[in-house]
Amino acid sequence: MLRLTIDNITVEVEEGTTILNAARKIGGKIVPPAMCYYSKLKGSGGKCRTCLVKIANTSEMDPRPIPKLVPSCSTLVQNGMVVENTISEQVLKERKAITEFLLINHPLDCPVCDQAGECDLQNLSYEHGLEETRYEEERREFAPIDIGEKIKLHMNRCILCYRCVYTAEQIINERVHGVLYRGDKAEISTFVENFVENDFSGNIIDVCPVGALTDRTFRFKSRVWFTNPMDAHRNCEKCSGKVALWMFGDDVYRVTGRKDKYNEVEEFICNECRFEKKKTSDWIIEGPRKINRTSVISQNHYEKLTKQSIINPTEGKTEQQE
Amino acid sequence: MNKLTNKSKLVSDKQMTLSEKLYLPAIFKGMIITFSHLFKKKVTIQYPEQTKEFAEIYRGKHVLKRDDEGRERCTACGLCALACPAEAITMIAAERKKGEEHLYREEKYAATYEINMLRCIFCGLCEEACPKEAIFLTKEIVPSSFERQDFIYGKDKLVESVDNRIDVSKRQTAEVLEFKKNKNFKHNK
Amino acid sequence: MENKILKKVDYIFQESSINEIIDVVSKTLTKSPDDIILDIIDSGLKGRGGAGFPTGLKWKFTKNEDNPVKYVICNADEGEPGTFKDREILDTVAIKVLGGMTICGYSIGAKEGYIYLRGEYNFLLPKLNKIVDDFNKQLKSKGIDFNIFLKSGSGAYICGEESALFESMEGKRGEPRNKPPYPAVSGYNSKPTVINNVETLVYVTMICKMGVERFKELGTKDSRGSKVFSVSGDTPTPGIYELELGMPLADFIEDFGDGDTKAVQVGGASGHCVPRKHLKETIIGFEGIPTGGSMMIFNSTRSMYNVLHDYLEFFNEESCGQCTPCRVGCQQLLKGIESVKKGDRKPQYLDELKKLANTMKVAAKCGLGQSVANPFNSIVDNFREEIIY
Repeated sequence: MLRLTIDNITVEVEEGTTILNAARKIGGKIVPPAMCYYSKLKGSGGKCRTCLVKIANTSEMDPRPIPKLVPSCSTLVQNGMVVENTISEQVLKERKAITEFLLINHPLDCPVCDQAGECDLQNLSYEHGLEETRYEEERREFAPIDIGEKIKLHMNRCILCYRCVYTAEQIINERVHGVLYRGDKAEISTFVENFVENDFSGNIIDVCPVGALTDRTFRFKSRVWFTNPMDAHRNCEKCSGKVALWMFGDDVYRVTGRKDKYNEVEEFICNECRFEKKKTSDWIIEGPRKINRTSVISQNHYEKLTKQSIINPTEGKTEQQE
Repeated sequence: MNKLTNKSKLVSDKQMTLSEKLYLPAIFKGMIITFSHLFKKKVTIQYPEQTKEFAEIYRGKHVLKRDDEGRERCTACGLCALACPAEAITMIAAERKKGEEHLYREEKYAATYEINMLRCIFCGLCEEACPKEAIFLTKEIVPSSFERQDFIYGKDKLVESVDNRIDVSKRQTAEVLEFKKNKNFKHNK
Repeated sequence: MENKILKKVDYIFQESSINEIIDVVSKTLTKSPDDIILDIIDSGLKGRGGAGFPTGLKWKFTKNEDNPVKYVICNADEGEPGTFKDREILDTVAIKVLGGMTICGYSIGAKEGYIYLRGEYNFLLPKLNKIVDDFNKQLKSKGIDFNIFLKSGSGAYICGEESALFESMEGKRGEPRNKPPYPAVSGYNSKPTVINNVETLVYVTMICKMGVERFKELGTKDSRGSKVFSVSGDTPTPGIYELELGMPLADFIEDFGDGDTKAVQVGGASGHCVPRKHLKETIIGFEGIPTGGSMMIFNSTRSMYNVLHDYLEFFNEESCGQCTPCRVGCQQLLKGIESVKKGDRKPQYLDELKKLANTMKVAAKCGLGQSVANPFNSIVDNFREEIIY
């Protein structure tokens, strides 16, 4: 076991753990935001640079700080490491700058975008963004295309996190899309339109942290905060069949994987469950999903307070922040 | 006994005097007050022939604005409905098709947009929430009706006509107007 | 600083026959690997690609890795604008590179060596193929178990970055990997790998040939040895010169400048721009400005705006696009100086852009993004008025 201190909180983790996962073990406000890292995808991370942290103490053997900031999602913990995240001015300053960078080419068409309300970039900019940008030049512009029969790609919104590329490689096992060109011309695309049609290809919608990849069956149907998320399952031959239904009255508007508090799906689901089973009778509904109270999706959804949260309101609060 | 307050009055059954019994002085006194009001300024107006001056930021019936090129500004983002404390607003979005670029500003637009004026409390939160400067409250008053159905205002009643624009510049803050002058920003072009 | 006259030397390009090099190699290979590594550490040889990591240490780390398969890779992806020394080395004295690779392979316990040749240098392939074939045969006849292969790049600056080079060699998109793990632990095919510049490997052969002591006489305390410089720009004598390290830039310009030198870009596009007023106190070497060998000299007819604009255009084009600061930063810097020049923005905007460049320095994933701030800050600081007007 290795001992690690993040923002003055000490935690013991197993060897081979990254700083980010150690921070997630502690939980709460000290967890660095991650736009490209996805715990279910091997090799992801290190690209968006929002999870940069300062290392004040490399290890017990080598008590020196690292001069540059390191990405917490891909840096392994060493024994006696001291990490500064929210208590370091430099980290917060650079994180603000990175957030600004991510938004420089982002079209900010949240009113149109289907991801609004459950978007990682929205959350990130809400917490770390500046109110206005210092740099206002022409943005990159691409026309939206259909990369699959049921998947729409808005390259304008893409932050090139590569999550969908890793998903295609590791979950779908046949990758027909990828990153084309380089530098500021880099874009996610396929060579042939409408080509992504594998049975698990829908998962690239779930892993997308922004609204670059969206579900065409849910396109402009409703806003996420008008729908009711429900846990449901069905017997599916291809996948576990455990999904989240986004319902509007008795209609199923959208089916997604069940996402945890870091917006990562618990289990990947197949396209049949995702795109074709849009009737309530297809599903066995387990009950409403627990939605973070600070999320816009919880608007007008009321929950009965349990006794414990009344007795111990601070406990409830840390949960919300997560 | 000591009185707790001095509000109480001692009641007397004193006999009225003759002039008091005639009641005439009191009647004349009352008449003078009444007639003197004939020559004072009237506090009421003759509605509907006359109407009162509205405050510049009076909140009346809503309008859905068009932009300079006559395209509908509303993109059906649902933020007005979310902000509405009375839950008076509902909408259904649709995707703009090719060839409709002159009708709608963004690739998504509101196919139906309804405000229930019976629910609406004219608080103005919808216009505050609107990111597209699409919905504004005007000085116009919502007329009365005998049917409940008549109070559900659809796009036919809400969207301003291309030729007859409604001026809402008074309802925009100085910062917004200043920001709109900045043509560097894409959505001001 | 040592008081010593530093001068032009000629070791690298001395003609050597294949037999001569094979002799040097087989003589060196009689020593134990540890001794060779100690010799290299003792010589103070630092990487000649620009970053200047001590070569001996690199070998030691890789040798200490417990893995039966290890690789030696020669980084011949010479993409830095203004650098053309590796082409000349591979064209004339490639055999010395092969010698260095063999010595390195023996010291760290690798059986295979690769030369990653820049895509634009493919015209060298037929010639190199022949030399490598001959060399491999000679090694076999001497009973040395080491094979050298050639791999060709496809023309990307980023593939000169070591981990992007591995990706490219493995047939993937050339993009830098997350570090750690460093190449010494997990490099090509996730095996421990030593990756050295062409020139570094030549010096390895030279050190083994002429001895450590002779090598240590060259250069200064912090920058041992000599270095090949690619001199270009406004100079009457452009070309490739081998000079001792640690020379003040002023002396260099006295020899190579055309008398009207305004600035020198040391280390190519990702290096620093040194204006005339700082020439005296600037030292070419690891104690001053480390360089990959590129020396671009500009005289007063050149607009530094154009210079910076070209560099930024280059970085914008060559950034791989995977990490945010570099992808967005290069684009914004380029557009930013354009709009300042056009007058759309106030000159103070340059300060904002400098903040952006500094963020890139701290936050970018690899050397490309981190080094864009070098030319940007040094040119904007020293030639601000040229950028604005």
